Amino acid sequence: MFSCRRRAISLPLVAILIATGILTYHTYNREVIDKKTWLAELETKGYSYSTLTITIDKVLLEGKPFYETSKLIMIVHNFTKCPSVLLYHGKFKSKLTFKIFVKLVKLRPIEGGVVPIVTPAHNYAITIIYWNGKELYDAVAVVEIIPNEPILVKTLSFNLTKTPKVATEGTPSFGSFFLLRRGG
Amino acid sequence: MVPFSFFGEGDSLREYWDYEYEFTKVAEAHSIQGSRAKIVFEEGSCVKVQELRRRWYNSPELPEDLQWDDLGAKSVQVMSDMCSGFFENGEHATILLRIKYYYERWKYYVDPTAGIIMFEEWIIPEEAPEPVSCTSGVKTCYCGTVSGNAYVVGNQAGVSRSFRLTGTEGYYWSPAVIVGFTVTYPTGEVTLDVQIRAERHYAGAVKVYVEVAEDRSLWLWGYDAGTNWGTVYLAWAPLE
Repeated sequence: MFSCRRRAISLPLVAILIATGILTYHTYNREVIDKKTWLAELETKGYSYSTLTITIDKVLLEGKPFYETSKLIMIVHNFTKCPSVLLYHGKFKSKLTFKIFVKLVKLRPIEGGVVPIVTPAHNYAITIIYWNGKELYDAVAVVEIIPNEPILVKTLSFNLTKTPKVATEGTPSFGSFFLLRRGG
Repeated sequence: MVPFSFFGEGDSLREYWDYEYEFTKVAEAHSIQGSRAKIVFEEGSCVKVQELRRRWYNSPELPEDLQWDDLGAKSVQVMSDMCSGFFENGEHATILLRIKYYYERWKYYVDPTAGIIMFEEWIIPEEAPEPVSCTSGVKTCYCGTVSGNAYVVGNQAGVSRSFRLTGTEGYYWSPAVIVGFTVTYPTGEVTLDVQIRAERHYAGAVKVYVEVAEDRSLWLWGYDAGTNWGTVYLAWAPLE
């Protein structure tokens, strides 16, 4: 009796595990396409997608190791086309993954293969900010990538330094001022 | 995959943006007697131009003497096939691309309780959509003995060869251009004259097209004198 109940519980569990496995396998396969397939898609369609992974392996505060990454603010801009696009503003993440649109200009033949000439070169700026209650610190890194591979990986390190402070009389205000912009 | 969540309203604000076009020095070229040359940019090729940023906090007012930080060179894509005119018989040419520069100012709310706001300004070279231009003049050519990487062009009029420019990372023209923006701050209008440098480092098909202009007994050579094809030098020398 007891063993029957156990089998009844375990069957759906096994089914879920298998389904998860299949889904993970397909997701992985869909994302990690090999270079040949990627090049073929680029050639036939004229465009494809690459995956860019940015890993942040080290954060320093004025040259010393910094571990309180939960207190950091992270801002990611995409400067590929301007005005820029703000991709992210939030808590610090040690790993960021982007899907990049790649347009083929031409395939340049080289010895033993071809090199895709693609457009545009992608440009991202990652700013991190740390407020310790007394002083503001920040650091920035720019990642420029020519997406001529299906999988692109970049590793970054940051060194937080003091943000220049403007000496003012009284308390700064959060009062909004006019939004001024050129264009739409 | 980490999905990008969009920022919460009020956390960041682009306060102001503007753009200007400026002719920017991206290459220099010489011809020598009996030869002519031109610079060719193919669609998708890139020149590298400095990206700048500065930031401060505690007031929307721009701090006095706040310097721009160099963030390295950004690729500026040439949007169509372009080439300079021919320069010949010892003529010197400065090649200019009309580049679009953006100015952006951002405001970040860091700690609303403490009233901490950070301001950040960017100068971003974006693209070179316009035809190339060049100014010509006379300048001493340091072309001399063939050295470094070298290829022969020929010794009969009309024979030509293209050399692909690559260049050296971190080696800048200083300055390549001064871009002027009239920027409105909450505290008033300010004119920013920003000096921007261009790197002698190229990606994709940026080429020097060299042609023999007259028949000679010596051969026209193109060589880089150890500059990793950042510069193409020309010389008349025997065929080795």
